[in-house]
Order: sequence, then C-alpha cells, then structure tokens
Amino acid sequence: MSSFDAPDLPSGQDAAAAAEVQHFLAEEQQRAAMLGVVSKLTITCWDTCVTKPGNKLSSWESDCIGNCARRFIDASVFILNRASKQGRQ
Amino acid sequence: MNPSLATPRDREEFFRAARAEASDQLLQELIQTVVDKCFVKCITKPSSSLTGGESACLAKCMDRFLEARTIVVKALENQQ
Repeated sequence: MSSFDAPDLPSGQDAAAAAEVQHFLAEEQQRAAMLGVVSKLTITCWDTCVTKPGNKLSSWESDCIGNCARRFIDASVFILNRASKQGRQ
Repeated sequence: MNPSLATPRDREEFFRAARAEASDQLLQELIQTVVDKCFVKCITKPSSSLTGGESACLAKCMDRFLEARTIVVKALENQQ
C-alpha cells in the first residue's frame, strides 16, 4: 500500500464506512504478515532442503520442506510461550 | 494519491486498487527471490552467454521453487 496516503474519510463521518475501511486495512495487514512468513519460510526451507533442482521435487525434499515449515511454527510457539513465562517471573 | 472514500463505490474501488497493488508487489518480490536463488544454483561459472544447460536449470529451479512455496503454504494452512 506504499503509493496510498492515508485515505480521507468524509467529514461528518459515517461510522459504518469508517468501520468498513478499518476492517479492510486490518484484513490486508494480516494477509501481508502471513505472506511475509510464507516468503521467509520458503527461502529458509529451500536453502535447507533443496540442493540441486531437478525435474521434480523428490519425496525427501517435499517432506523436508513441509517439516521445515511446521517445525518453524512449533519453534515460534515454543519460544513465545517460554518468553511469556519468563516475563512473569 | 488521496482516494475519496465517501461512497460505497469509492471504497470498493479503493479496496480493489489496494489489493491489486499488494498483489503486484508480492509477485515482484517472488520473482526477485526466484532470480536470486536460481542464479546461485544454476550459474556457477558465468561465461559470455547463458548456456542451454543454464537455461534448463533456471527453468527447473523456478518450477521447483514455486512447488516448494506451495508446500509451505499448505503446511501453514493446516497448522492453523
């Protein structure tokens, strides 16, 4: 959304219109965050799992990439949980 | 650019344009990533032109990378 300045809402704001825009921005932000994780993970797991690209991904490579992505999420959850526990001490 | 959001149609157009731009940006970033990754895999001894072998490697690499991305997307979808 880099070429868009903060949109002008009509003066005498329609609360429903504002909510609609708010909702859209929140949704897009969430989507962007998710796609950011996808991009980063694809790069990490490609580097980890694929050495020489062939005519198709081997089952070893496919399994590796899937496991890589799932374990990354597990590791994130683990670290977040641990950090929040430590925060309470 | 300062879009008016006064009418439902204005908002619809803004949403459409914002999504289209986000989509373009995503595609651009993806292509750049494929170029970076596949150059490293395929052009190990740069010569005076792109060889047939290098081109074939780039094509395979690009397809495999996109497949890898699909696997990641599916893995993340199921994890939620």
